[in-house]
Amino acid sequence: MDHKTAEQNSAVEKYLLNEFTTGERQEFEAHFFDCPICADLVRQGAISIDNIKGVFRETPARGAVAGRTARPGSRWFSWVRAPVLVPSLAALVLAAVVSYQNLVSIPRLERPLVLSSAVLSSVSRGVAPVIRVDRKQALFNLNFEVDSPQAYPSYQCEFRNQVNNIVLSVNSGEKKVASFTLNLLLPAKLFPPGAYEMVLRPDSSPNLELRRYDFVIQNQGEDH
Amino acid sequence: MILASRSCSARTSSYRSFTPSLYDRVYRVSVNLDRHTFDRGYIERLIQGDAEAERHFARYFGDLLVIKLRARLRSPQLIEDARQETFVRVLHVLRNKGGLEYPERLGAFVNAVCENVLLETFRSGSRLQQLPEDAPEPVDQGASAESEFVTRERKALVRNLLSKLSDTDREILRQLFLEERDKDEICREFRIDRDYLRVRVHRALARCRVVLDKGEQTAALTNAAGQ
Repeated sequence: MDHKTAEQNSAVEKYLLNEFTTGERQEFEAHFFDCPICADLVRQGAISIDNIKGVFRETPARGAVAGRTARPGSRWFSWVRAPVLVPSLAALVLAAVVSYQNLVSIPRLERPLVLSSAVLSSVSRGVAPVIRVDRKQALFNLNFEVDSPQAYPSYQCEFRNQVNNIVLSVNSGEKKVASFTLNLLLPAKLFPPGAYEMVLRPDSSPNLELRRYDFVIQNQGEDH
Repeated sequence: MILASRSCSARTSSYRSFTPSLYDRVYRVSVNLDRHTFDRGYIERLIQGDAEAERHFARYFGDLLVIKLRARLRSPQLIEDARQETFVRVLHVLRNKGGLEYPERLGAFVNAVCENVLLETFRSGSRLQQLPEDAPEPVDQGASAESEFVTRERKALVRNLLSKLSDTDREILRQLFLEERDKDEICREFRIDRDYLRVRVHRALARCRVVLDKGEQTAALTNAAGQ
């Protein structure tokens, strides 16, 4: 890596924010140990960040609740106070969530799942492809054929329903390629039957649209 | 945990410890350290044990080594051990091999030696394992485990700067650096993308740099005037 590349790629910020892969980090370290300008920026950046953390540690977080004194009341209703009620309700909610997870969600996730090999293409003529979802499974898979005009480090997949609301946004993870098959496991409950589209964008340019994929979700065992 | 290289205790005992002086740590004046190029004369002075050259060498590379090492090692003691071992090995090679073929690449050589020290640390099967690639920064063990970069004077300057930032910028920095919240979640909450998050961090750090530089220059001048 040379200094111009480091500057253009905001390498100092990426390094300090721990956004590099191992290889990229080693490459930048090899550079700034030799480059006095980048060494200065990294050193001062690290000093700044450590002192910012130090200041914030001493400062109460926003929304910190000041202590409240309990109002005197009858013994019968003395437990009906926020400091008692709120944690109690939170415990009840937690118990309900854990029970649901143990009795419903985890068993569904532990069932074996046959993955579909069908690949959705962005070129769509005529009827959008139909994807049948087994509602007994928590997840279903979709595969997208991606052919981007250029390679990006990662991509964002934006799923919209027929009223154009975003139901889910998924990051592709590190790709760095332009053409690939994107395999996704998606939560079935977010995709009730209906028409959808997936809009593919580069992670670094969320306003740029690369490809659109239309598809229709149906419940398995039902005919449209 | 004792590094395998520590078995060469006879070798290590002949070099002074490369710990910056108290003055350096409190009133580190970056202008004296920066933009330094390394030449044959500098290497010669290091080889001959020139105190000023060794002090500069320790200050210049000491910070960079800590920044590099703490992203890979959990324990402050391991970090310090690795830093000292790197210094010892670099000087050992310079003195026994009579210098470097390309003195201007001294930085790359220090970095390469540090990489080897790190590999040996990991291979020696330390209880304190290497951090995975995408692991968050190691959690501080407590308020007393503040970095050596933090001083009362710097915090005062930074506190003043933070008070002048917008609420949004201040909250972004808090969530990013103190709470170590996922960056994508921060971007979603504040409706910005990762590039723009980086830009905001860059601006905040640039302002911090100016404030800290000015503060340290003032402190150094005050100290010099007092002497």
